[in-house]
Amino acid sequence: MRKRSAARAILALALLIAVVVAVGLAAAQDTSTVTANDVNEIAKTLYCPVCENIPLDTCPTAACEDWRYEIRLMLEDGFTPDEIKADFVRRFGDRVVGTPYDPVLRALSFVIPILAAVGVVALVIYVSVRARHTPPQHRLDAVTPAAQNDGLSLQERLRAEIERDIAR
Amino acid sequence: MLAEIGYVAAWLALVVAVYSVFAALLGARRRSSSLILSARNATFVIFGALTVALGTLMIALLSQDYQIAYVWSVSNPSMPTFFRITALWGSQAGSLLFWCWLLSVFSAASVALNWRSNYRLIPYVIVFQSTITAFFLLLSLVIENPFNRFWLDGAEVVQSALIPAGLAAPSEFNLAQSARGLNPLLRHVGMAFHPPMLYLGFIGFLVPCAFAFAALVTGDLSNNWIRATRRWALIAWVFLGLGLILGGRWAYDVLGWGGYWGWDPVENAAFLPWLVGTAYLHSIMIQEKRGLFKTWNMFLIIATFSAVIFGTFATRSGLVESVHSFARSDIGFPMLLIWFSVTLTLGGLIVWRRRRGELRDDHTFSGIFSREGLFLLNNFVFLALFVVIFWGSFGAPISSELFFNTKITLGVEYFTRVTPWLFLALFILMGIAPLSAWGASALARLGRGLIVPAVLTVATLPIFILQGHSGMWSIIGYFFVLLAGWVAVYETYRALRARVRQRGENPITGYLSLLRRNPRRYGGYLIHLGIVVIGVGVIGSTAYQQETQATLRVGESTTISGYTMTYDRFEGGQVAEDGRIMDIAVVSVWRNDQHLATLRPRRDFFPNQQDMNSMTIAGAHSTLENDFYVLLLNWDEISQNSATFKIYINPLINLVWWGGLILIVGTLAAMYPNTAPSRVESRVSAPDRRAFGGGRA
Repeated sequence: MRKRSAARAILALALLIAVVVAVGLAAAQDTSTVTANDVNEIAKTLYCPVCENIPLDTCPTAACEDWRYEIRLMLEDGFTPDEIKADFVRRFGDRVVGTPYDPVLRALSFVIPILAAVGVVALVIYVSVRARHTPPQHRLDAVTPAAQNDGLSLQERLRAEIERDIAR
Repeated sequence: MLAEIGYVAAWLALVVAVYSVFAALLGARRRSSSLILSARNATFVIFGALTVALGTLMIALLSQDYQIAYVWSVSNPSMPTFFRITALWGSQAGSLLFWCWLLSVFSAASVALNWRSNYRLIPYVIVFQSTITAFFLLLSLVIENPFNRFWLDGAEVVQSALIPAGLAAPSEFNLAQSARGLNPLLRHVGMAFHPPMLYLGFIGFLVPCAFAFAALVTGDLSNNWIRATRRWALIAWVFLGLGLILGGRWAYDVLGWGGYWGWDPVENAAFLPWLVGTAYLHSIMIQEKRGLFKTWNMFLIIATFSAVIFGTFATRSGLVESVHSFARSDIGFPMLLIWFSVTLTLGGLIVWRRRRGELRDDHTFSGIFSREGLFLLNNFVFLALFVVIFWGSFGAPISSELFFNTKITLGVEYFTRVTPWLFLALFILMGIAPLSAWGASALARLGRGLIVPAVLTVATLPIFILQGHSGMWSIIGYFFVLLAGWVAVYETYRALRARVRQRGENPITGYLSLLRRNPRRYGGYLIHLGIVVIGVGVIGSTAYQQETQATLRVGESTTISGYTMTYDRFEGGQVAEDGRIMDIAVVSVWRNDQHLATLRPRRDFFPNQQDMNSMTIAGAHSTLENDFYVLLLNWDEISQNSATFKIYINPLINLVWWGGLILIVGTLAAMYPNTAPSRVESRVSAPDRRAFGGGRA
């Protein structure tokens, strides 16, 4: 009887150890699935919250190293890349992402250049239409506005212009 | 003594600059040739005085005169002579004086070279150039004086350019011991050339803008100002382009992130004038050939110079945060003021002349498929690029902070979404425009001209597809970029073939004759080819870059994209001649079991440096196909047995640098004097020049 209970206890202990080892191995397996490349994939889309326009994946400061480690931990905890980015935005503001998360700022960021592009197209059309309908100015007009339609030949007009210029 | 000589010379330059402005204005108003001559000579004196001032600062740097605060802040006894020279532009005060000197060089040279041919414009050219020079000199002398010396006021050290009564100079030995040295990021051969190139590019646009100003003031709105400044604009453009490429190379070698263009605000601030300047260089051809878009050209050159001043303001004032800002100070407000004043004045002059009807075109616009129509489209695309890049770099971050009290960054994600379409449009236009004719072009003719280049393009595409560059968008990108290149090559080939057949010349002589006969066209094709090569490099290196990070023990390997890298050993604590400590990892790179290279990525540590004191220097194995680029990120300090590496494979990246080289050759060819056509041109335009008091052309 005592032998049997001892055998049961050994079996239970063995099972317990097996479970602990299995859980440990599984946990170890989980950790190893997050690689530096996974971390960089997300860090690349974030900017260092304290440096000057430096992506988080390449920033050499100790603070950024810590933030990259945070990303690793969050990935291990099952956070998605979007959740991690949203968390960084919540903590450090929209300056840590390449385009703002705030819907108003995001819309403004993209809408204004589109409006500008539309404006440019409108300008093209306006200039083309206007240029087609504007009569050309004779080259000489710029030189002698006052001498237009006075019946003089080109040479005479130029001579008059030169003489006027010299006399001034 | 050196400081005093430099200081007096710089003040002399400032006084003479102010004098030249008034002498030129008065001379033009009273038609006094002696006053105008005096103003001209004053520009030479400014150049002379600033040469002395800059020379003294250079001597102070070379002779290690640490009594001068600037010398103390940018050099130290362990720095090699080469970096002592480049330290001249290593910080705000020195670079501002260097900037003033370059302004004086361009002013003196442009006045000397155009004195006879554009006599009527010259007084106002001097007014504009000397005003700008005087403004920057004032900034230099009042806010950022490079000649300030250290003085001991009891226990305190004070800085003053003048010798204060009763104060003594600190010990030279102590100053040498504590001298800071150049920012490590600037200790790169690229930084020896990158800033001067950028400055030359920026300042070069002063000359066309000054002539535009003079044309607007005098009313000489013919093509004279464009003819006088085309080469100046080309010089400025090529230097700016070269500066951008060298800056990219510096970032690639020194910043340690595997790329060369990060859409950083300071990078963009230099790119913006290049964009408008390129539009201007295309657009002036329309005015010269067809007498069209006079207002537009005025607008473009003014916008280019305005972008130059804004870029300088943004970079030097700390308006935006950037890894590229090495020279920040209190010059922001005055810079903003001059930017606003110059832009408003020049813009006002354009509106005034336009309202008087003096900027009206000589001919009617003949349709969008004519050469001028396509050039106009190209101009608008350049302008659209300018707008979206300006918005992303400055507009959005400043607006969000002003109106929403929120700091935002529009980064790579924004720029890679909004700009590729516009760049694609540019390449399409670059492919079509050379086939069109001035005046009018039929769509069918354009289509016929495209057949052979399109066939060649389709035949070339598999080279890229076989390398695995088979994404739909990149194939579309490659197609239009290559098409533009083949159009340039085919058009040159056709002209060359005709010449060889007609004259029996050998192809090399024939090609050189083509360049001599029509440098603008065939030099232009070379420039297009350079841009195409850069375009291919950009697509390949951006869309197909691969990277991996690995921690390796000595003897372990990692693989990426068919390459194997083995970590061989660590060489820590190597001391270089300039005192920096280098930690080097030695790695071997293999491909298909063949040893390709032994690389030495390293981390440099500068013990005397206070702020930025370490640098990551990549090891790279370069071929035309790609770069194997490895960075040493970290290592086990105690055992030195393991180290962490970041490896990048950058396909076709070397084409970016080679394209830059072709661009320079093309621009030099385009600047070559074109004798035959200019004789015809001078017959046509001679009356204009004589009418306005000019001498010989």
